[in-house]
Amino acid sequence: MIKFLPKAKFDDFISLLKKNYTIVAPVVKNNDYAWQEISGNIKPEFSENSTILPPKKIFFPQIHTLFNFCQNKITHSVRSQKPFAIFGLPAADINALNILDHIFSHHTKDSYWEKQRENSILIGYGSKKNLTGKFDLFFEKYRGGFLVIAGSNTGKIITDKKIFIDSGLKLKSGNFIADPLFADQNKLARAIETSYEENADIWDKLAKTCFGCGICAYVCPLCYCFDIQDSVNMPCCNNCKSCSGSRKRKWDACFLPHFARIAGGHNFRENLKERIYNWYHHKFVRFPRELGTIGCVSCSRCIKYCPAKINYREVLEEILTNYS
Amino acid sequence: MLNPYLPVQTKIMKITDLTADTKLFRLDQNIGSFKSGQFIFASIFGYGEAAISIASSPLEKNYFEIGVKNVGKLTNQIHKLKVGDSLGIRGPYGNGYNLNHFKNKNIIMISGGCGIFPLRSIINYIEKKPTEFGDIEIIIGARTPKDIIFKDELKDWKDFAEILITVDKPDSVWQGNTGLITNLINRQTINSVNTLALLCGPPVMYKNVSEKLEKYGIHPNNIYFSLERHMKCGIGHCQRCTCGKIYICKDGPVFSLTQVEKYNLF
Repeated sequence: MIKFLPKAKFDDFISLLKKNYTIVAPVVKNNDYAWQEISGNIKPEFSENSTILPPKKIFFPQIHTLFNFCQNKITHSVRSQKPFAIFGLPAADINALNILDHIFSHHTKDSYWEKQRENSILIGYGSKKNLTGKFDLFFEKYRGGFLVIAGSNTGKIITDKKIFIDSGLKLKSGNFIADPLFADQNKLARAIETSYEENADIWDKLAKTCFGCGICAYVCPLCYCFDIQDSVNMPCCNNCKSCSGSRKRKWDACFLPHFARIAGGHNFRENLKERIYNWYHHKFVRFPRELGTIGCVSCSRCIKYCPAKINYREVLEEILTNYS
Repeated sequence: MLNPYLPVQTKIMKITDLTADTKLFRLDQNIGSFKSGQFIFASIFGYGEAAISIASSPLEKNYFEIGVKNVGKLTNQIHKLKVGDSLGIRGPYGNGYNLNHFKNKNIIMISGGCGIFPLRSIINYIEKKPTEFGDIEIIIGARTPKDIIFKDELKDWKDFAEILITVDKPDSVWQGNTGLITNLINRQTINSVNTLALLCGPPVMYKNVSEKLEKYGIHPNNIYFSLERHMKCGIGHCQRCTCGKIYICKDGPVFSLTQVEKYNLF
């Protein structure tokens, strides 16, 4: 049963949510949108627009302290214990978070990701057309208010509250619209591998255009390369024998020159061309073979923010055309 | 829930100086069972972590050993540790060698420089169970005679293995072979019948030596490499060690030549 929330009750819903959750929602930043904790006077801005950085940053921050250390002992930072409500997720971002759930439990569980996700609910906003992932609530604009679907038991407990009324509508199945570019994942994978094996022009063209800046990796909801580095505090006294500091996980990007360099200086992806190919290979060849899904949710952030104006869709279309 | 990034502080039981810049560290066995060819992360807070092969046999119940060359900030700090100090360890990781496939086979081990460390895990195993294997040959390459890593243990290995050594730069007293390891690979030294070859060393050695081994009749399924990449997590998440479809950390680091060629891993 789909519920309805009149527009006039939207702010009441936010207040209700705030009682049990810390809300993280899009906020206007310059001419764009960014995820931020909603507290004090910060006003969320709900729209169909996507944020600059995807919601992966909420569960997998750009710089994340794995643990603190002092004198060889480990201590953990303790965060506030109210669970998070991530409110305002477009369908593509929900899909990406579900895929990241799979990735961070694949082979070995990442306890940091698990804990953050267990302590949060996902509330979608916008169109459900491309939605495939699990969520807790989804808000869709409808006739002076919102249709609200509960996607989980937690969501149902919320939508059972009196603030929501029955819409009289039932859930329709089969509304999912897949990206036609990924209609045949096997063909796309073979086309990409063949084009590189045959040294197709597209890769040299990309290497001449691409800055190798890694922005596409940062804004992509499904890029998750990271580095782990120790940072050290100033010694607390002259008698300090061991250092105190923290071990941090930081976003990295396979586009960057150092990424595949090993001790001794050998670099397994010395050329930008190899690094560009690696990104495409990971998303469109290895992802489906390893995880059963394409490594792209068609959010278009990489197209919007690429300083070299590279459009991955045009790249893939050229590769597919040449393959045929 | 188990946190895969937490190192366990592990007591150093013994330190052996091997060469001017390499040491063998014997550590309390708290990593559980492992296979030859697997690796651990050695961690010192403030200096980071590094993936290091296990250099001792899985048959040892009380300790495991790692060989560390002093090449950077972390390894320099590891070299400053003393017996009784702790070193952070997490692991074991990787696929390791499948010793069951090696039983009753002749084994040629070819090692360049620090490549001897993971191979020593197998050598020590064979030392304890020599009747399980055929003829053993160990071919060692080092820069100079002073850089030959397990000089003392070689004398014990001669009891069950034929040993050939070559150096790039001999000194005034060096009586042995000089030149590349590939020079030692020939019809006299290689019996390809029922034989496996295990290679570990710098990437530049792999192509040349494996081509020769194939030429002398060893099948690509029976030539194994231990590959190296820069690793941060060891559990197939950080993406640093990927090569096409393959993660060197969890699908490797041990691969056959067939796999190397199929997945273009060199």
